[in-house]
Amino acid sequence: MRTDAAELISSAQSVLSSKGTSGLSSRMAAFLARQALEEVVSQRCAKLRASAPRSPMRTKLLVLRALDDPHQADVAAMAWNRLSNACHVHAYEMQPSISEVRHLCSVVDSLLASDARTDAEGGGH
Amino acid sequence: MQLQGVGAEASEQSVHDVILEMLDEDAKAIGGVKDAVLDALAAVGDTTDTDTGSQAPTYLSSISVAGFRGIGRQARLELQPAPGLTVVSGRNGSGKSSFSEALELALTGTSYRWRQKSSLWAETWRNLHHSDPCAVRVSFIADGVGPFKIGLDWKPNDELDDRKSWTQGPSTDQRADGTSQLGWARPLELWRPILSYDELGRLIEDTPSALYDALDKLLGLDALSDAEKYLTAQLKATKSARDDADAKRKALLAALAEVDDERARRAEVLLRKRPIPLDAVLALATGTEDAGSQIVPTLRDLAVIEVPDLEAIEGAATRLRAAVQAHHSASTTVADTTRKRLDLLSGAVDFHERFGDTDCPVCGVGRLDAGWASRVRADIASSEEELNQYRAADSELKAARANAVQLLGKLSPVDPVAGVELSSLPVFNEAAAAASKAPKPDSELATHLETSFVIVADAADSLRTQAATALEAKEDTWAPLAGRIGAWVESETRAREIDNTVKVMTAAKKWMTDHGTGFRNLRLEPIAAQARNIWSQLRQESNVDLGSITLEGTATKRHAVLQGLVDGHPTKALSVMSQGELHALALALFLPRATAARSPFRFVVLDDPIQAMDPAKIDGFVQVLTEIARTHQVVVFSHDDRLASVIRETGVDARLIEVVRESESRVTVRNNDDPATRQVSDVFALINDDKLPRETRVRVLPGLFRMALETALREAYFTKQAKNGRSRAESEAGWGATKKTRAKLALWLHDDPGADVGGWLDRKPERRRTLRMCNAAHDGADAEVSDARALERTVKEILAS
Repeated sequence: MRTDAAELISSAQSVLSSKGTSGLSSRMAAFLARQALEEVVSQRCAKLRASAPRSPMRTKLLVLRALDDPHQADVAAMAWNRLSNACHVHAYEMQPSISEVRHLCSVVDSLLASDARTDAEGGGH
Repeated sequence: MQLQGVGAEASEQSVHDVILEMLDEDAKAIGGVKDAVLDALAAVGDTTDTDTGSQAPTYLSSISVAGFRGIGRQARLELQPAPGLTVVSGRNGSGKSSFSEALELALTGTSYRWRQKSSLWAETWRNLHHSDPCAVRVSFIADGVGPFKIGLDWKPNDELDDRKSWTQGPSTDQRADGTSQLGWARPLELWRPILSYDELGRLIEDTPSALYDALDKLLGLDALSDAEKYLTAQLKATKSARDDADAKRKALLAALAEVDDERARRAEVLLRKRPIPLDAVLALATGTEDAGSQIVPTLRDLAVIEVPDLEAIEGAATRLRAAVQAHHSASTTVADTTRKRLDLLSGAVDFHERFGDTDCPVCGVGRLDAGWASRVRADIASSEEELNQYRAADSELKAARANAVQLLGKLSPVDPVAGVELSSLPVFNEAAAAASKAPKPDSELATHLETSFVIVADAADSLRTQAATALEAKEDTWAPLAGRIGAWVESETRAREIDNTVKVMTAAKKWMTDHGTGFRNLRLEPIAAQARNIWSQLRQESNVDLGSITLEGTATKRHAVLQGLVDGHPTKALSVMSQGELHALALALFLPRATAARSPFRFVVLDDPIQAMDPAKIDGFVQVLTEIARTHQVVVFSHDDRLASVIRETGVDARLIEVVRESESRVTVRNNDDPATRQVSDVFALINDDKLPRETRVRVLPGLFRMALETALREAYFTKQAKNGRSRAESEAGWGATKKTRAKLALWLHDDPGADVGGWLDRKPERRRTLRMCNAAHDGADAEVSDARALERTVKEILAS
């Protein structure tokens, strides 16, 4: 499952740097990055033996907040909210900027990395 | 992303110390420079380092307004007097800006907006619907000291400036007039904690020197600028003596060149010498030293030239004539033969006396004997008398002649005076020369004496008059010049006394200017780094990268240089930025000022700072505010919901307050969202999520209950502590040392983690229920919506306490 999140985020990053997406690269990348983030959060919940497979993302993020490092949970919550924003068309708002999405991708990437680190420290599952 | 500066600034040395260090290191600085620089620093006083450092960090706890601007009946904006972000939203005209204006007025006595459009605001400051009571109360809490309050009151017919302001607390309940006792005048100038949209625009768009001054002020290096100004003024004052002497000398030389006077020439020579011999110049001016001068002394002599007077001449002539007469008559009575015969008889008497009676050695006939001798002696005696008369007449004639000749001898020709026309001078010389040619015969000599001396005396008279006139003319032109020379000598003497001082002051000023620029930029660098950091978050999609920020030039040429990089190409930042970017930049530059570690204000109030900001920048802005909110109370007034919605969406820890204005200027302040309330709503969301497996919910909920309760407790505890004059550091230590929720509750209630809280818990049924849920992590107990309601009520009660 890990590969899924890693693959999603790396394809999000490659979309950002590719040409010929008719100006939609940031929205496409945001979509991929959000999926990657949701994947990471679900995995994290599962590892905490508190999985909530059918629950909304808000619940999962609250689970992380209560059981995991609250700071990491906040970072994930902020990234998810902003990526969700970027995935929808809002009145009075333009699509997210490349650099913003790139930054959010890196946030997801770092969450992925810290997840892997926790596994290594905890001996893995 | 940490905002630096807090630590960096706290360890800053005082201006005085740094300058002292720099002076010590600077081997080239000449002797007096060091003292001059230090004197200047001492004279201006190192106010920033001493006056403002001791004030307690202060937070805002409420702003209450009545009858002022958009607010009719009293409305109160409660603020959490602690670090954290509060966003006060309200539509334009909702009255939210009235709060910030009231705060600004209470703090500074004016408002930035009013300063720009004073006449417009002066008439509309009072609320139209409810103009009485008209009052402002701003409550503060000084960390470790306690609460205090600033009040403004207007009577019904007062103008804006007629207000009565007062301060109450922290140490006493007595109201004291005015706000000066807070000692905030200078801190407000240095670290203005209120920034409005208008002001932000001004900071950047004004003249380059205005930005320089604003940045300079935030460096707190007023002492440095003041010392520079002081040195400049001192130097100017000191130098004026030298300038005065030099100007006088120049004017003097010009005046001297126009004067035809030997002393003027000499003065010119002296005044061009290096160094100028002041004694010689002064002697020349006062006339005590005439060495080398010819004309004036000569003229002076001529003006009093003396010739024998006519009386003496007449006397001499008469005497000579009489002597000639007497000599003549004596010569006729006493014949020459008589003299010869007497001589012979006298010799014969001598002969007889020596050799006795004898025959006459001359004739050989007669006999020289006693009878002869006695006869002859009588004869000689009578003849001697005649002879003596003659001899006297003869010697008198000789004496009278000598007298006449001597009088003539007194006359000598005088030399002509160079450059001075004296027509009687040759006349005099001729007369003198004619008189000197004395004829031999005594009778003619007497006549010559008389006639020639009349001419000489006349000539001498005119010569005297002419010489005196010439002398007077000379003195008339010279006297004022001499006066000016004297005055110059005085100025020059004064100037010389301070010449060395001027040299030192000039060097000191140069030293200050040379080192001041470097020093400023050294001090600016941490702030520039902070500004760059803030800008990097605010810029988001901007392609302008902020580089170095430096202060350059002095006096009227001072300006701030903001280097920018556009896609890596260096450029001047200001010229390539959009309006929105300029505002963001102004924020980036001036948030460090408002949040400087030495400022007593732990609050920053931003009034509508994001008007021209695009959505991407708002994200960055929220991040920046969140960073600052870790150490400061950040209050943002916003006229739209963009800021609030970014905060809601991204889960930023912030309090959201809404200001609504209804008819009749009734302004309502509603607490829309705060961290504890948000956590309560999280609990509701989790309980209402029926897809969440029970065992997960059971594990998660106690933690969320605890977080919500502890967040509320923490806020309440910190507020209570602050009001009691405890420092924030103390509160944080107390809070940090307490682990269990019940102990934290006891800490809040009784300031003692071990105290009994049973009474409080039993007073309301939801309290014990809430605490039980917080500690249910290992019970495996599930929670219901009613438990969430209990939590909600408890949190509300704690926050409202």
